[in-house]
Amino acid sequence: MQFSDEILMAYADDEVDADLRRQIEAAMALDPSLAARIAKHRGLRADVGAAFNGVLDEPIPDRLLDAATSKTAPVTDLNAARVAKQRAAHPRRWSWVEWTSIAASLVIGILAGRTALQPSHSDLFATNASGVVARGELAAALTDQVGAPKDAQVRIGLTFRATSGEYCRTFATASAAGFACRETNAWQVRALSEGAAGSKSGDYRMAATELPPAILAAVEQAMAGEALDQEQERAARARDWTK
Amino acid sequence: MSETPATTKSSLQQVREQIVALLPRMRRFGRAITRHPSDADDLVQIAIERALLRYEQWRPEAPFHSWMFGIMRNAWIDEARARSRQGKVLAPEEAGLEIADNASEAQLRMLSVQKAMTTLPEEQRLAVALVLVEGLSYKEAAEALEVPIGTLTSRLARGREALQKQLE
Repeated sequence: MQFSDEILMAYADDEVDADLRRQIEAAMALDPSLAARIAKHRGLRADVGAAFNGVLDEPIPDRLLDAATSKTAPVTDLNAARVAKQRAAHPRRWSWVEWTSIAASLVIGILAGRTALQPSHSDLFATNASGVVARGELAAALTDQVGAPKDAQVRIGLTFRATSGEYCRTFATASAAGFACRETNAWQVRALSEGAAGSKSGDYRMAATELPPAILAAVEQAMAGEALDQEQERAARARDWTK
Repeated sequence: MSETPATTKSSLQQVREQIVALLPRMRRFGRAITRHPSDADDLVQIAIERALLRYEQWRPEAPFHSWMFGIMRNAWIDEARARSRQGKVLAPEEAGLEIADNASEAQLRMLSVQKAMTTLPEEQRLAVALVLVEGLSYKEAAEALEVPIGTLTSRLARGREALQKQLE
Protein backbone atom coordinates (compact mmCIF):
# COMPACT_ATOMS: atom_id res chain seq x y z
CA MET A 1 0.00 0.00 0.00
CA GLN A 2 1.22 3.48 -0.85
CA PHE A 3 1.08 6.31 1.65
CA SER A 4 1.62 9.91 0.72
CA ASP A 5 4.27 11.84 2.57
CA GLU A 6 1.54 13.98 4.05
CA ILE A 7 -0.11 10.91 5.60
CA LEU A 8 3.19 9.73 7.03
CA MET A 9 3.75 13.21 8.41
CA ALA A 10 0.34 13.10 10.08
CA TYR A 11 1.17 9.70 11.51
CA ALA A 12 4.44 11.04 12.90
CA ASP A 13 2.47 13.91 14.47
CA ASP A 14 -0.07 11.54 15.97
CA GLU A 15 -2.84 13.02 13.83
CA VAL A 16 -4.30 9.92 12.13
CA ASP A 17 -7.29 7.93 13.28
CA ALA A 18 -7.00 4.42 14.68
CA ASP A 19 -7.85 2.68 11.40
CA LEU A 20 -5.25 4.47 9.39
CA ARG A 21 -2.73 4.02 12.15
CA ARG A 22 -3.21 0.25 12.03
CA GLN A 23 -2.81 0.23 8.25
CA ILE A 24 0.38 2.26 8.41
CA GLU A 25 1.84 0.13 11.16
CA ALA A 26 1.05 -3.05 9.25
CA ALA A 27 2.74 -1.62 6.15
CA MET A 28 5.75 -0.50 8.19
CA ALA A 29 6.31 -4.04 9.35
CA LEU A 30 6.71 -5.09 5.71
CA ASP A 31 8.53 -2.05 4.40
CA PRO A 32 11.47 -0.65 6.38
CA SER A 33 11.71 2.38 4.08
CA LEU A 34 8.32 3.48 5.38
CA ALA A 35 9.58 3.33 8.94
CA ALA A 36 12.64 5.33 7.89
CA ARG A 37 10.48 8.08 6.34
CA ILE A 38 8.42 8.32 9.50
CA ALA A 39 11.56 8.42 11.63
CA LYS A 40 12.78 11.31 9.53
CA HIS A 41 9.59 13.26 10.22
CA ARG A 42 9.90 12.56 13.92
CA GLY A 43 13.57 13.50 13.91
CA LEU A 44 12.86 16.84 12.28
CA ARG A 45 10.04 17.50 14.74
CA ALA A 46 12.42 16.85 17.63
CA ASP A 47 15.14 19.03 16.09
CA VAL A 48 12.84 21.97 15.43
CA GLY A 49 11.43 21.74 18.94
CA ALA A 50 14.91 21.57 20.45
CA ALA A 51 16.07 24.59 18.50
CA PHE A 52 13.62 26.87 20.32
CA ASN A 53 13.01 25.19 23.67
CA GLY A 54 15.82 27.13 25.31
CA VAL A 55 13.62 30.23 25.24
CA LEU A 56 11.36 28.66 27.87
CA ASP A 57 14.15 28.79 30.45
CA GLU A 58 14.98 32.45 29.90
CA PRO A 59 13.73 34.96 32.44
CA ILE A 60 10.64 36.85 31.26
CA PRO A 61 11.41 40.52 30.60
CA ASP A 62 9.67 42.82 33.09
CA ARG A 63 8.09 44.87 30.36
CA LEU A 64 6.10 41.84 29.19
CA LEU A 65 4.92 41.01 32.69
CA ASP A 66 3.99 44.65 33.16
CA ALA A 67 2.07 44.67 29.91
CA ALA A 68 0.09 41.61 31.00
CA THR A 69 -0.60 42.57 34.59
CA SER A 70 -0.44 46.30 35.13
CA LYS A 71 -3.67 48.07 35.86
CA THR A 72 -4.68 50.77 33.48
CA ALA A 73 -3.71 54.25 34.53
CA PRO A 74 -5.31 57.47 33.30
CA VAL A 75 -4.68 57.96 29.62
CA THR A 76 -2.21 60.78 29.72
CA ASP A 77 -0.15 59.31 32.54
CA LEU A 78 -0.03 55.93 30.90
CA ASN A 79 1.06 57.44 27.64
CA ALA A 80 3.77 59.56 29.17
CA ALA A 81 5.01 56.81 31.43
CA ARG A 82 5.19 54.27 28.69
CA VAL A 83 6.94 56.49 26.23
CA ALA A 84 9.50 57.48 28.83
CA LYS A 85 9.99 53.92 29.95
CA GLN A 86 10.37 52.52 26.48
CA ARG A 87 12.76 55.19 25.35
CA ALA A 88 14.93 54.63 28.39
CA ALA A 89 14.89 50.89 28.49
CA HIS A 90 14.37 49.69 24.97
CA PRO A 91 15.82 51.71 22.17
CA ARG A 92 14.75 49.81 19.09
CA ARG A 93 15.17 49.58 15.42
CA TRP A 94 11.48 49.82 14.66
CA SER A 95 9.23 52.59 15.60
CA TRP A 96 6.33 50.27 14.92
CA VAL A 97 6.39 48.61 18.27
CA GLU A 98 6.50 51.72 20.31
CA TRP A 99 3.69 53.40 18.59
CA THR A 100 1.46 50.39 18.30
CA SER A 101 1.75 49.66 21.95
CA ILE A 102 1.26 53.27 22.81
CA ALA A 103 -1.79 53.49 20.61
CA ALA A 104 -3.16 50.29 22.10
CA SER A 105 -2.54 51.60 25.59
CA LEU A 106 -4.37 54.78 24.85
CA VAL A 107 -7.37 52.87 23.73
CA ILE A 108 -7.13 50.61 26.74
CA GLY A 109 -7.10 53.70 28.84
CA ILE A 110 -10.17 55.01 27.15
CA LEU A 111 -12.10 51.78 27.31
CA ALA A 112 -11.26 50.99 30.89
CA GLY A 113 -11.57 54.52 32.10
CA ARG A 114 -14.92 55.50 30.70
CA THR A 115 -15.76 57.55 33.71
CA ALA A 116 -12.31 59.06 33.80
CA LEU A 117 -12.76 61.27 30.76
CA GLN A 118 -12.12 64.86 31.62
CA PRO A 119 -15.33 66.73 32.38
CA SER A 120 -14.16 69.41 29.98
CA HIS A 121 -14.51 66.82 27.23
CA SER A 122 -17.93 65.56 28.10
CA ASP A 123 -19.35 67.90 25.50
CA LEU A 124 -17.20 66.25 22.81
CA PHE A 125 -17.15 62.59 23.79
CA ALA A 126 -19.72 60.07 24.92
CA THR A 127 -19.44 56.39 25.60
CA ASN A 128 -21.44 53.59 24.07
CA ALA A 129 -21.27 49.81 24.21
CA SER A 130 -18.21 49.64 22.00
CA GLY A 131 -16.20 52.50 23.48
CA VAL A 132 -16.04 56.21 22.94
CA VAL A 133 -17.98 58.12 20.30
CA ALA A 134 -17.81 61.72 19.20
CA ARG A 135 -20.62 64.10 20.12
CA GLY A 136 -21.44 67.75 19.95
CA GLU A 137 -19.06 69.94 18.00
CA LEU A 138 -16.64 67.12 17.46
CA ALA A 139 -19.29 64.95 15.82
CA ALA A 140 -20.46 67.91 13.76
CA ALA A 141 -16.95 68.72 12.59
CA LEU A 142 -16.24 65.11 11.69
CA THR A 143 -19.41 64.97 9.63
CA ASP A 144 -19.30 68.42 8.01
CA GLN A 145 -15.84 69.95 8.01
CA VAL A 146 -14.08 69.99 4.65
CA GLY A 147 -11.44 72.59 4.03
CA ALA A 148 -9.90 74.97 6.52
CA PRO A 149 -12.27 75.96 9.32
CA LYS A 150 -12.30 79.45 10.76
CA ASP A 151 -11.92 79.62 14.51
CA ALA A 152 -13.39 76.20 14.93
CA GLN A 153 -13.10 74.46 18.27
CA VAL A 154 -12.30 71.25 16.40
CA ARG A 155 -9.89 70.93 13.51
CA ILE A 156 -10.14 68.01 11.14
CA GLY A 157 -6.85 66.86 9.67
CA LEU A 158 -6.61 63.87 7.41
CA THR A 159 -9.43 61.82 6.02
CA PHE A 160 -8.70 58.26 4.99
CA ARG A 161 -10.26 54.85 4.60
CA ALA A 162 -9.47 52.19 7.15
CA THR A 163 -8.33 48.78 6.03
CA SER A 164 -11.83 47.59 6.94
CA GLY A 165 -13.35 50.13 4.54
CA GLU A 166 -14.93 52.79 6.72
CA TYR A 167 -14.02 56.47 6.54
CA CYS A 168 -11.86 57.83 9.32
CA ARG A 169 -10.77 61.36 10.14
CA THR A 170 -8.17 62.76 12.46
CA PHE A 171 -9.12 65.61 14.74
CA ALA A 172 -7.45 68.00 17.14
CA THR A 173 -9.04 70.18 19.78
CA ALA A 174 -7.40 72.50 22.27
CA SER A 175 -6.79 69.62 24.64
CA ALA A 176 -7.17 66.36 22.77
CA ALA A 177 -6.27 64.71 19.48
CA GLY A 178 -7.07 61.44 17.84
CA PHE A 179 -9.02 59.87 15.06
CA ALA A 180 -12.51 58.53 14.66
CA CYS A 181 -14.12 56.27 12.10
CA ARG A 182 -17.64 56.39 10.75
CA GLU A 183 -19.67 53.46 11.93
CA THR A 184 -23.38 52.88 11.47
CA ASN A 185 -24.66 55.74 13.56
CA ALA A 186 -21.67 57.40 15.08
CA TRP A 187 -18.06 58.44 14.80
CA GLN A 188 -16.29 55.85 16.87
CA VAL A 189 -13.10 57.18 18.44
CA ARG A 190 -10.35 54.70 17.68
CA ALA A 191 -7.46 56.52 19.28
CA LEU A 192 -7.36 59.49 21.58
CA SER A 193 -4.60 61.34 23.29
CA GLU A 194 -5.48 63.90 25.85
CA GLY A 195 -3.45 66.95 26.59
CA ALA A 196 -2.52 67.51 22.94
CA ALA A 197 -2.68 71.14 22.01
CA GLY A 198 -3.82 72.01 18.52
CA SER A 199 -1.62 74.55 16.82
CA LYS A 200 -2.80 77.87 15.52
CA SER A 201 -1.44 77.14 12.09
CA GLY A 202 -3.75 78.28 9.35
CA ASP A 203 -3.05 75.41 6.98
CA TYR A 204 -5.45 72.70 7.92
CA ARG A 205 -3.53 70.09 5.94
CA MET A 206 -0.73 70.64 8.36
CA ALA A 207 -3.04 69.51 11.10
CA ALA A 208 -1.61 66.04 10.74
CA THR A 209 1.66 67.27 12.11
CA GLU A 210 -0.07 68.50 15.24
CA LEU A 211 -0.99 64.97 16.13
CA PRO A 212 1.05 63.16 18.75
CA PRO A 213 3.30 60.52 17.20
CA ALA A 214 1.30 57.72 18.80
CA ILE A 215 -1.85 58.90 17.06
CA LEU A 216 -0.11 59.43 13.74
CA ALA A 217 1.30 55.97 13.99
CA ALA A 218 -2.09 54.51 14.81
CA VAL A 219 -3.42 56.30 11.74
CA GLU A 220 -0.68 54.83 9.59
CA GLN A 221 -1.56 51.41 10.94
CA ALA A 222 -5.28 51.80 10.27
CA MET A 223 -5.01 53.47 6.88
CA ALA A 224 -5.61 51.70 3.59
CA GLY A 225 -4.11 53.60 0.67
CA GLU A 226 -3.70 57.36 0.60
CA ALA A 227 -5.44 60.16 2.45
CA LEU A 228 -8.39 61.70 0.59
CA ASP A 229 -8.09 65.05 -1.13
CA GLN A 230 -10.73 67.74 -0.64
CA GLU A 231 -12.77 66.68 -3.63
CA GLN A 232 -12.88 63.10 -2.41
CA GLU A 233 -13.78 64.32 1.04
CA ARG A 234 -16.74 66.23 -0.39
CA ALA A 235 -17.86 63.18 -2.34
CA ALA A 236 -17.64 60.99 0.77
CA ARG A 237 -19.52 63.57 2.79
CA ALA A 238 -22.24 63.64 0.12
CA ARG A 239 -22.66 59.89 0.64
CA ASP A 240 -22.87 60.50 4.38
CA TRP A 241 -19.55 58.71 4.88
CA THR A 242 -20.99 55.33 4.06
CA LYS A 243 -18.46 52.70 2.95
CA MET B 1 -13.64 51.85 35.94
CA SER B 2 -16.05 51.51 38.81
CA GLU B 3 -18.88 50.96 36.39
CA THR B 4 -17.33 47.89 34.79
CA PRO B 5 -19.57 44.95 35.65
CA ALA B 6 -18.05 42.29 37.88
CA THR B 7 -18.38 39.58 35.24
CA THR B 8 -16.30 41.34 32.59
CA LYS B 9 -13.79 42.37 35.19
CA SER B 10 -13.25 38.77 36.16
CA SER B 11 -12.88 37.64 32.55
CA LEU B 12 -10.32 40.38 31.95
CA GLN B 13 -8.52 39.17 35.04
CA GLN B 14 -8.74 35.62 33.72
CA VAL B 15 -7.21 36.65 30.40
CA ARG B 16 -4.39 38.46 32.21
CA GLU B 17 -3.61 35.34 34.20
CA GLN B 18 -3.69 33.14 31.13
CA ILE B 19 -1.31 35.51 29.36
CA VAL B 20 1.16 35.42 32.23
CA ALA B 21 1.04 31.63 32.24
CA LEU B 22 1.54 31.51 28.47
CA LEU B 23 4.36 34.10 28.31
CA PRO B 24 7.24 31.62 28.03
CA ARG B 25 5.54 29.93 25.10
CA MET B 26 4.57 33.23 23.48
CA ARG B 27 8.23 34.20 23.58
CA ARG B 28 9.24 30.87 22.09
CA PHE B 29 6.64 31.15 19.32
CA GLY B 30 7.80 34.71 18.67
CA ARG B 31 11.37 33.54 18.39
CA ALA B 32 10.34 30.86 15.92
CA ILE B 33 8.40 33.16 13.57
CA THR B 34 10.38 36.42 13.57
CA ARG B 35 13.46 36.49 11.47
CA HIS B 36 15.25 38.75 13.90
CA PRO B 37 15.36 37.43 17.47
CA SER B 38 15.18 40.98 18.81
CA ASP B 39 11.78 41.39 17.19
CA ALA B 40 10.25 38.48 19.09
CA ASP B 41 9.60 40.20 22.41
CA ASP B 42 8.27 43.31 20.69
CA LEU B 43 5.79 41.11 18.91
CA VAL B 44 4.81 39.47 22.21
CA GLN B 45 4.23 42.86 23.80
CA ILE B 46 1.99 44.02 21.00
CA ALA B 47 0.03 40.79 21.09
CA ILE B 48 -0.51 41.18 24.84
CA GLU B 49 -1.88 44.66 24.35
CA ARG B 50 -4.13 43.60 21.50
CA ALA B 51 -5.39 40.64 23.53
CA LEU B 52 -6.28 42.88 26.47
CA LEU B 53 -8.19 45.17 24.14
CA ARG B 54 -10.22 42.27 22.83
CA TYR B 55 -10.34 40.08 25.86
CA GLU B 56 -14.09 39.73 25.47
CA GLN B 57 -13.57 37.84 22.23
CA TRP B 58 -11.93 34.93 23.95
CA ARG B 59 -14.32 32.11 24.74
CA PRO B 60 -13.25 29.96 27.71
CA GLU B 61 -14.32 26.84 25.81
CA ALA B 62 -11.69 27.50 23.14
CA PRO B 63 -8.01 26.83 23.91
CA PHE B 64 -6.44 30.07 25.08
CA HIS B 65 -3.16 29.39 23.31
CA SER B 66 -4.84 29.07 19.89
CA TRP B 67 -6.49 32.43 20.39
CA MET B 68 -3.31 34.09 21.61
CA PHE B 69 -1.08 32.62 18.91
CA GLY B 70 -3.66 33.78 16.38
CA ILE B 71 -3.31 37.33 17.69
CA MET B 72 0.48 37.07 17.45
CA ARG B 73 0.21 35.79 13.91
CA ASN B 74 -2.06 38.67 12.90
CA ALA B 75 0.23 41.22 14.51
CA TRP B 76 3.17 39.71 12.70
CA ILE B 77 1.40 39.77 9.36
CA ASP B 78 0.40 43.41 9.91
CA GLU B 79 4.02 44.23 10.53
CA ALA B 80 5.16 42.41 7.41
CA ARG B 81 2.61 44.39 5.38
CA ALA B 82 3.62 47.67 6.96
CA ARG B 83 7.23 46.97 6.16
CA SER B 84 6.56 46.05 2.58
CA ARG B 85 4.36 49.13 2.13
CA GLN B 86 7.23 51.24 3.34
CA GLY B 87 9.44 49.46 0.85
CA LYS B 88 11.70 48.02 3.48
CA VAL B 89 13.20 44.80 2.35
CA LEU B 90 13.70 42.28 5.08
CA ALA B 91 17.30 41.29 5.26
CA PRO B 92 18.02 37.61 5.66
CA GLU B 93 18.86 36.59 9.18
CA GLU B 94 22.48 37.10 10.02
CA ALA B 95 22.52 37.38 13.77
CA GLY B 96 23.07 34.44 16.02
CA LEU B 97 25.44 32.68 13.71
CA GLU B 98 28.69 33.34 15.44
CA ILE B 99 29.54 29.77 16.17
CA ALA B 100 31.99 29.14 18.95
CA ASP B 101 34.89 26.82 18.18
CA ASN B 102 33.83 24.52 20.94
CA ALA B 103 30.14 24.41 19.96
CA SER B 104 28.71 20.97 20.46
CA GLU B 105 27.05 18.93 17.79
CA ALA B 106 23.68 19.70 19.39
CA GLN B 107 24.35 23.45 19.44
CA LEU B 108 25.36 23.39 15.80
CA ARG B 109 22.19 21.53 14.97
CA MET B 110 20.10 24.09 16.84
CA LEU B 111 21.70 26.96 15.01
CA SER B 112 21.24 25.39 11.62
CA VAL B 113 17.57 24.67 12.37
CA GLN B 114 17.04 28.27 13.48
CA LYS B 115 18.71 29.53 10.35
CA ALA B 116 16.71 27.19 8.13
CA MET B 117 13.48 28.42 9.74
CA THR B 118 14.25 31.98 8.72
CA THR B 119 14.36 30.96 5.06
CA LEU B 120 10.84 29.52 4.98
CA PRO B 121 8.01 31.51 3.45
CA GLU B 122 5.91 33.20 6.14
CA GLU B 123 2.95 30.83 5.86
CA GLN B 124 5.04 27.72 6.14
CA ARG B 125 7.06 29.09 9.02
CA LEU B 126 3.89 29.86 10.96
CA ALA B 127 2.54 26.35 10.40
CA VAL B 128 5.84 24.74 11.40
CA ALA B 129 6.16 26.94 14.49
CA LEU B 130 2.66 26.16 15.72
CA VAL B 131 2.84 22.41 15.22
CA LEU B 132 6.50 21.48 15.65
CA VAL B 133 7.62 24.15 18.10
CA GLU B 134 4.42 24.77 20.07
CA GLY B 135 3.00 21.28 19.73
CA LEU B 136 -0.48 22.40 18.71
CA SER B 137 -2.78 19.85 17.11
CA TYR B 138 -3.55 20.37 13.44
CA LYS B 139 -7.03 21.53 14.42
CA GLU B 140 -5.74 24.11 16.90
CA ALA B 141 -3.08 25.35 14.50
CA ALA B 142 -5.62 25.69 11.69
CA GLU B 143 -7.83 27.75 14.01
CA ALA B 144 -4.97 30.00 15.03
CA LEU B 145 -4.13 30.62 11.37
CA GLU B 146 -7.79 30.87 10.33
CA VAL B 147 -7.37 28.35 7.51
CA PRO B 148 -8.91 24.92 6.79
CA ILE B 149 -7.01 21.92 8.11
CA GLY B 150 -6.06 20.84 4.58
CA THR B 151 -4.34 24.17 4.01
CA LEU B 152 -2.51 23.87 7.29
CA THR B 153 -1.26 20.35 6.53
CA SER B 154 -0.07 21.26 3.06
CA ARG B 155 1.84 24.31 4.39
CA LEU B 156 3.27 22.15 7.14
CA ALA B 157 4.34 19.44 4.69
CA ARG B 158 6.01 21.95 2.36
CA GLY B 159 7.73 23.67 5.23
CA ARG B 160 9.06 20.42 6.58
CA GLU B 161 10.27 19.33 3.21
CA ALA B 162 12.17 22.59 2.76
CA LEU B 163 13.71 22.32 6.22
CA GLN B 164 14.70 18.72 5.64
CA LYS B 165 16.42 19.62 2.39
CA GLN B 166 18.44 22.36 4.03
CA LEU B 167 19.43 20.30 7.00
CA GLU B 168 20.55 17.22 5.14
